[in-house]
Amino acid sequence: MSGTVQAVLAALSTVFAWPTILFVFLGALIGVVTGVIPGLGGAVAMVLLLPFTFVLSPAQAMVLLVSVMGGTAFGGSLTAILVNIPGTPPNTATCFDGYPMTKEGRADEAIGISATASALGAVFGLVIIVAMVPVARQTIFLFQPPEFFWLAVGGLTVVATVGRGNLYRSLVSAGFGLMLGFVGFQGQVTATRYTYDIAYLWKGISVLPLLIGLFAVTEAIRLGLRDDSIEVDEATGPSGDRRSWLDGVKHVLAHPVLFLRAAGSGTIIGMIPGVGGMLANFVAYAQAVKTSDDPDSFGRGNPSGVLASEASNDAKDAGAILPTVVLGIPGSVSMVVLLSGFLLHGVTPGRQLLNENLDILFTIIVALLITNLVVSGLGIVTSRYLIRITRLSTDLLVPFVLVFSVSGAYVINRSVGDVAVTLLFGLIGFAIVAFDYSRIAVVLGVILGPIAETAFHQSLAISNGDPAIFVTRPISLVLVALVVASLVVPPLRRARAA
Amino acid sequence: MDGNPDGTFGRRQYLKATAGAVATGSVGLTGCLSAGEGEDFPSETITWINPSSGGGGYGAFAQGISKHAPEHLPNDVEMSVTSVNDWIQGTSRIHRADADGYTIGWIDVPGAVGNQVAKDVPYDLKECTLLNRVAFHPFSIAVPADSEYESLEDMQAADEVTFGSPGGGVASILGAVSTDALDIPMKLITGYSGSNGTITGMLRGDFEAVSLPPSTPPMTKALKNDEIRLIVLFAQQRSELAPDAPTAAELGYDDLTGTGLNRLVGGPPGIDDDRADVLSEAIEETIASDGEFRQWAKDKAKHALFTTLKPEGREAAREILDQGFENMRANEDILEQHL
Repeated sequence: MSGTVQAVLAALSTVFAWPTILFVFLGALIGVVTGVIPGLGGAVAMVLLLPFTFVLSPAQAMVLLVSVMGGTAFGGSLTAILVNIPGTPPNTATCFDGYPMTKEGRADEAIGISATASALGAVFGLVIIVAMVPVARQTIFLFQPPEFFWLAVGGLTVVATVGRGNLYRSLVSAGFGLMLGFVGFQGQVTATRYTYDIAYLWKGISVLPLLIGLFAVTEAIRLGLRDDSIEVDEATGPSGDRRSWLDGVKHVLAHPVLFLRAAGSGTIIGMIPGVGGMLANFVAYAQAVKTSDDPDSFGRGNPSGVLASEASNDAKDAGAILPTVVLGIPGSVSMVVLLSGFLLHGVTPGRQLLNENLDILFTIIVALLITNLVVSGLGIVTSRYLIRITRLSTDLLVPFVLVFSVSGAYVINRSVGDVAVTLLFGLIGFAIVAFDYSRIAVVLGVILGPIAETAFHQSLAISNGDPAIFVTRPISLVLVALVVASLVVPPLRRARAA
Repeated sequence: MDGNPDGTFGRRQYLKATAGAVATGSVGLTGCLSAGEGEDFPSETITWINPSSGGGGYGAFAQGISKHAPEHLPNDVEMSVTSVNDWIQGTSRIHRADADGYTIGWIDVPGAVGNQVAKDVPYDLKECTLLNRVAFHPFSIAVPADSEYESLEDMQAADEVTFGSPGGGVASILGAVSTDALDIPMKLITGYSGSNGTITGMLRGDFEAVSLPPSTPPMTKALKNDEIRLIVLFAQQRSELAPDAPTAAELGYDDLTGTGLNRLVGGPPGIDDDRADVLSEAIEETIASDGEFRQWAKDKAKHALFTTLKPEGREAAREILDQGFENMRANEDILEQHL
């Protein structure tokens, strides 16, 4: 326990030391700006920043990346509320009631709700994962290859929910992602696959250049094909508000049960690797609607809709830290980037981080906490100025994103091949979006496919080929049940409702 | 000139220009980072290619040496480290670099050698200019502290002993070759994340043993925490990290005492002898005599890693490489099973 206290104190002294505290504010600012620009989520900003963290210490790099992540969630809510555009996908449900509130002249109140729910949601999630740290030390040895396999499969089942109702296209997207993930050398079967004698592919397709292409370059192409600016056609903004942000703060404090439910589901869903923030966002919103006395008011400016969406959104970021740190399995795309940051700076998740680098874990937690408090406060004050970014001409934005993408992809390994991968997947990502397939499903396949495959082979090697190992271990059995339930229960509910 | 009738730059032209600028910038960025020619050697930045990740032992060694080696060069130039995190790509980049002495890098023996023997890799280490042998890490076989295996004989008597490794690299190669020589019925489980991930896998019970050097930081820490113990150390003398562990020589396996990881520094084929000597001597002087470098090593808290520093000259490096090829060719059938 004293070790944990020492780690917390070390983390506090690290984060508040100069110039590390500067990176909290810098990351928060970058995160908010990135969140405000639709399409450029936190993962993209983190990916683009990653190569530039080489000059920082591991702690400073982690603080910067985490602060970007923390700032993005709130930044995305600003555009969701003010111009009905979710700055990041997990802000989607915020649009449903936030934008109607703006049209009613209650934008400041909605921003007040978002700021408060975001900050408290992050605090809630972080308290939960801090409470789980002592247990995590033992937990890490309970999870072996069969459990990793089911966790990865569980993440892959989310493919069914990310296709906006088109399961076929989601499955095709995930299949494409799995194919990409299987490129390269597989040690257990000693086979080199889909490399076509191209040495660059022997180690597999580099994930970071792929992500930069799939998200940043694709968005640059999409923006480049649009006329004028990002700004939507309606004149918006907090003008003539009759209610203030303080009413928003009061609304959150007056609905503790709704808040706890949304933040709780967000934290839990965030902990499940690969599930992603959109699911947490919609689950929390659906809970708010189902438990409300006035469900018909949702979608017409009910403040509780904004509360549920934003509380879950920030809590899931906190929850996603735990599997990343304890199991080395990223809980979200942002966590993939954070995990890459760990490895690039010589910090290995899992036993080493919990035993010897516990201060880094708490540094991440403290940084995320401060970031959420800072951006929520600053967001209230500066929201009406920040929104002007969405009115920037795409002629200015596109070159900026492209140059950052190409140079970022190159600097990672000083590899021209990585630049080619980035540009190629920019085009592929554009095609995916144009034909209404799912980039999220592709990423799930790329990330989780190799994890599932490696764990599958390891499990069978451990059991001498006996497949019973996947269902005879207690944790595996629980995970199997959860995977099956996640596939069976939603269709049954829909059938019953119909 | 393309553009709008009013003389302004049209949107389409603007975006075209942007795409062109990005492409030109990419090429320019690559070109700027490539080496040029100079009258006196060295006259510009020397790039040290680290085919491994930036955070491991190779990265630490490269950063430490490149920070202090310039003081031992005739001219005041910088030495920068580029980590590629892909052994095949990184070694290939060293092999095909300009032979001007401005690009050097790590050559892993037997990792890179084993891959060359077993695969059609895009490099030929035999052609490379060798500069120095920086360090040697004797390997070992380790088990969890509470393992049922107390001795080498216990392992040899078992029906099967499961080993873990990241796969495809030096740990798999040396694990397979050494257990074959020791008549240990090994079954290899791969896919673990580095030496830390491999040790974690062993401690939680995925497999029974690992073949890794005790000087690698995760092994050193596990030894100090009494979480693991060594069955055999492939060396002539016992290690201060595990003084109770017998050496291969003590157990009658003298042929295996050189089983370990050699960290060589080399460059592309055809580097001028004078330039190669300048680089080789700078590396050796840095390691052998530089007080600041040794202090830096201690500050990095990787003392065990840095105790393995054993600089040897160009000729010794060539002999080590040739010996590595000989050993790997003798075990080609084993390599093909694991690479």
